[in-house]
Amino acid sequence: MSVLAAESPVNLTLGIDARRAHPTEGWSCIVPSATSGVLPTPQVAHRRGQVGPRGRFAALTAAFTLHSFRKKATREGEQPDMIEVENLSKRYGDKVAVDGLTFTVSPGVVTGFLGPNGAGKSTTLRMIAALDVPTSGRVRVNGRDYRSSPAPMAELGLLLEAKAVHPGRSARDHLLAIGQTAGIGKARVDQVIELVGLGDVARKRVGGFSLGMGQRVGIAVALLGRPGTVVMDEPVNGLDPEGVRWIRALLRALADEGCTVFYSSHLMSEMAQTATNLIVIGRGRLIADSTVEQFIAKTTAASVVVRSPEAPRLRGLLGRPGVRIVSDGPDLLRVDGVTPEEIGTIASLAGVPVFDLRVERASLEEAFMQATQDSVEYKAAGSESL
Amino acid sequence: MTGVLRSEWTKLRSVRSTWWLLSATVILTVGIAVFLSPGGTAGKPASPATFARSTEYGSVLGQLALLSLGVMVFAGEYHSGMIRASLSVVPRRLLLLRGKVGAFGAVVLAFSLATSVAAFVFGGLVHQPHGGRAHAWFGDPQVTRIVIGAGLVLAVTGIFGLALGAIIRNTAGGLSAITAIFFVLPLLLRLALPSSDQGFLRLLPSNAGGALWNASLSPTSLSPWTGFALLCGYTAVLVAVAAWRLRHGDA
Repeated sequence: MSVLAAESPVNLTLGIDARRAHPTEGWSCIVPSATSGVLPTPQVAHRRGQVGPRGRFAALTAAFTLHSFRKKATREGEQPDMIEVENLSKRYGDKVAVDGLTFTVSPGVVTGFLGPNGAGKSTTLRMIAALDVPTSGRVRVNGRDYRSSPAPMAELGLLLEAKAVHPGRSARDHLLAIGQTAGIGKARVDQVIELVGLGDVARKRVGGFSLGMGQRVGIAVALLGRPGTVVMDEPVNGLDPEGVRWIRALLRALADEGCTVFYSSHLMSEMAQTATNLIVIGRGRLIADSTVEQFIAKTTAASVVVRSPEAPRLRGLLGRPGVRIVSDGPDLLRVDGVTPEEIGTIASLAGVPVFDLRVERASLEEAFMQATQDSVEYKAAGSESL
Repeated sequence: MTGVLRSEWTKLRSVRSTWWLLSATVILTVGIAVFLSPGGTAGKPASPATFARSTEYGSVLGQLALLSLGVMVFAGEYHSGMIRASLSVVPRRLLLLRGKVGAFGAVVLAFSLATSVAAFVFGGLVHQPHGGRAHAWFGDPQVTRIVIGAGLVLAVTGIFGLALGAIIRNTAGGLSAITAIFFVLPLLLRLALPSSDQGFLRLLPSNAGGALWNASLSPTSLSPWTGFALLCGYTAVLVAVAAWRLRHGDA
């Protein structure tokens, strides 16, 4: 018995156009417990204003009629989706790929998974999906080993390597074959194909697909069962900017619906915009498990940038023990240890004109490089040796 | 389970190599049966023994095609990386194996029975002397055994190939293995062993199955159903090894 909701009457298209229906309509990320027997209902209550008029009407109707079901479902005390990793280790012969990792990925936020190449990210993700057997420790998806999941496709949507497809098969047949294991029919398959933008090439052989198209097939496989937990390894790999924005919107929408979203990426700027929580690993070990802001704040120092034509005078005014000031050009100061409010007040009291006053935080990329510089596995030689 | 069976059928039918190899099975088996089908002497149908010969030659090559298909169905998943997708949507690994064996076995069984019946019928139609039928028709129990038996042996051999593909996980390796087991090994042993010890040969997978269509019940071969049981035994052992490997290893 699959836990999939009935097909939503509103077309499930996802776009940046706010007038279109909400991308995850008809998709609830709270998986009812096996005993309640209640199908998941459309999460319509707290959208972020992205629903058009038709969608709103449907939302209100659905909310009214299914309100009681929602209450019942939560009363049964179902397990919210999450991923729990406990002391996970994996070694291949002598090489330790993953060493005592412990973290929890919670629902409702996008969690990013960072680490240098060879840090053990893919190995960890494979162990979450029960594709590899841990040497020690355990992984739990929704409170149990994924292998004993009663409805695997509705619980976990996985994208590991997009081109894990037989090259001679068409995209549609591949999705059909995957979906049929969970009783998912042609209608849903066609819907997901449209969702990922492969409508025109669905019946062509996957062997002829470009990198981005192959990636979209993998994303389609992950989304096919309307899973409560989505795990993706480098989803934006090979996608054009429109695709990157689409993934960002999709992941955020899924998290808003209450799904657990866990994805790894090397695109720091993108991850800084998309993820709320971060898990950083290096050489198989956990380096950080916090929010993006906390990670950046802990790893790098923020400084206040002041631009003023009378910078040297301002420098003199601000100098005191515990404050570090760096002059960066004739009119630019970088100040550490004074708040922008204080600088503004001092400057205004002394009559020093200030043209730019802002806090400059390090980027996620800088924070990441700082945190993992000792854990890089494969370090390229510098450009001097070229 | 039905979901997995349907999924495996979709996987089988959506790949060109399946249809190529199944066609090859039909063409080889029927074609050779037609060419080698013995005609009877005037008015008298050929005995089941002589007829069995033609089915045998055809089926041996048909076996090769089905073995290859079996290897490719499983080893191909490892080669393309599809196994990771399959195992992530069906994390219960033995369920996946049962589904694959079930779907593949059903398809191959249907195909093999149809092929051996076709080989028999067309072989008979081609060589018709003036007057009665070329050889014994279905009323003869031995004929039924040979025809149905050929279908069964082909099907079980296909599953043998599937299990081998699951164990070896490599298409080229699997194809080499089936060639070695089914063609090279009997030949080598026949040459290497002194003629008195040839009894050992009848235990080989290729020959054990062959007992089922051996109408002459020569002393050197096992009795038909014993031979078939032995072939099924080999296949079952391979499937068990594949199950163990699948369950306990990494994807």
